[in-house]
Amino acid sequence: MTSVLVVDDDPDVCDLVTYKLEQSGFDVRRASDGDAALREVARKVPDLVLLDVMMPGVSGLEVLERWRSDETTAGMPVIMLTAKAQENDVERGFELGADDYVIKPFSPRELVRRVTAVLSRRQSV
Amino acid sequence: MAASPTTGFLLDVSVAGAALAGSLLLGTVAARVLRALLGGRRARAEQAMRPMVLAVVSGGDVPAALISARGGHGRAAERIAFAYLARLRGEAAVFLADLLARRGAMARLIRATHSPRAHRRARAAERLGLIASPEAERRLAELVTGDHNAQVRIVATRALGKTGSAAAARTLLHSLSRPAPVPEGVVASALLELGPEAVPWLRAELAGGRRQRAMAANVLGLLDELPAWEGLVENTGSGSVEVRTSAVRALGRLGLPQAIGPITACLHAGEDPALRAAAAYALGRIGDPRSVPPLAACLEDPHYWVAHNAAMALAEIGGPGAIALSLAAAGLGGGAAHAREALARRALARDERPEDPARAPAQVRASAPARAPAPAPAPAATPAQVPATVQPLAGRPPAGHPSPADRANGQGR
Repeated sequence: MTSVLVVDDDPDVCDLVTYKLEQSGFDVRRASDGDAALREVARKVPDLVLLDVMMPGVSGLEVLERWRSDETTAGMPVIMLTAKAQENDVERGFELGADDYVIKPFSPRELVRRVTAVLSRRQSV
Repeated sequence: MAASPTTGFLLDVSVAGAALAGSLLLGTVAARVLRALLGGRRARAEQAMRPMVLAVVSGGDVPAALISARGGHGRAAERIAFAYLARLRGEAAVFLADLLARRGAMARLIRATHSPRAHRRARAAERLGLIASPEAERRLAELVTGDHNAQVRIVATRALGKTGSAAAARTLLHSLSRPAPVPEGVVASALLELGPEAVPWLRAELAGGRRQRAMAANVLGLLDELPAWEGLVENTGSGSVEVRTSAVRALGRLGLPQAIGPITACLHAGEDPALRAAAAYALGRIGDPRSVPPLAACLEDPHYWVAHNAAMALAEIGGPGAIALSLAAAGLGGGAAHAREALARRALARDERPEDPARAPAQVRASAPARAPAPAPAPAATPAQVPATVQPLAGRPPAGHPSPADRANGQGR
């Protein structure tokens, strides 16, 4: 089963994303901040990460930078979750190697489409 | 031996104090226990209702228990639905809004907007914006223009922006003409939240009243609405300084070289300093080398922000702009300081040493624009003369030239 790590400090967003992804057949793990995300990925590298940008402590961009500088996680697909007001972070995210981004508020159906699209792109490479 | 009256009094006070402390302690413990009990009940109710609400988000059938839930479970279901609604868009949001309408939440919210208590009206307005039905929109429009409390009007304005409705744009723009309008920044944020839905109304309002035109120009620029550029250009030539400045700034954001001519016309020495500063800023955003001569001519302008923005714009343009700055920096005029600052900032941004004008190739120096004569004398800009619409490109002004942001914060006076 394809595993997805959802990283967001907002429990409501985590609930919604987790529910929709599980319903679509993904195995979902959750982390509520950057440090927890780093620990989760160190424990087991998921097939894809949905990563919130603005989080307490280590930010999503910093987490992404660390993953990209580590060869075990450098190729791990990452989709950024960002609020509409933080669209400037999207550019920075792409510079750091994000694969895609989803703007909050989000459409669950579109989110699943993007997750599937990123995973199939990675598999075809 | 009998106790003296003083000792007896002190004893009484001690007993009374101990009794009071005991009562307070008991009260605190009771309140905590009660809160824990209520919190536990609330958590259990949410735990029971959450899976049902999540099923609705996915477009599943709405369970009858979710529609008929009352009391703590009903409140929990609505709390969760509103929390999710704020985080979702698309059909999932429609499903949740439908659920809330079927539970009668809409009718209750509309009633709450008539409450004598402002905080209840504001809370109801915020939730109506999430539901975003035509009925909710109508009531929000009434609150934006008619509520006697400024905070409620602000909340209703923001809520109207979340509805995503084109008609909301018209209400928001026209609210600017009311006797006590909502602050323009709040209206602008709401229009931006509406996004592309607002564009037809914004473009139509470029020919509307003064406040509407200025707002429409600003928001169209922020929305990167390229097809609106001709309407914006029309607004740079005549009308109030506020409208012209907004149009110039928007054209700068769009970054279209076609707008260079109209924007450069606004740099003319006879124009308002706020407009000229905005024009210099806009030319920097466009970044076309054709703007170098008119910008270089502004480097010695007596108005701080005009000269500052011109220097920063030349640095933004780079190439011939940087050469013009190097030549100005080598001089002794008032523009030299702005030019040096702009060159230093450019060098810092590029992580290099500032360019030395003496090291510029001879033919480049020859082709660089000759320093234009200083603009026609104009009274020195005082803080009060430079409206808040002036945008510095970067940096801090020297004493006596507070930035618009400083003035807004009451500094630099």
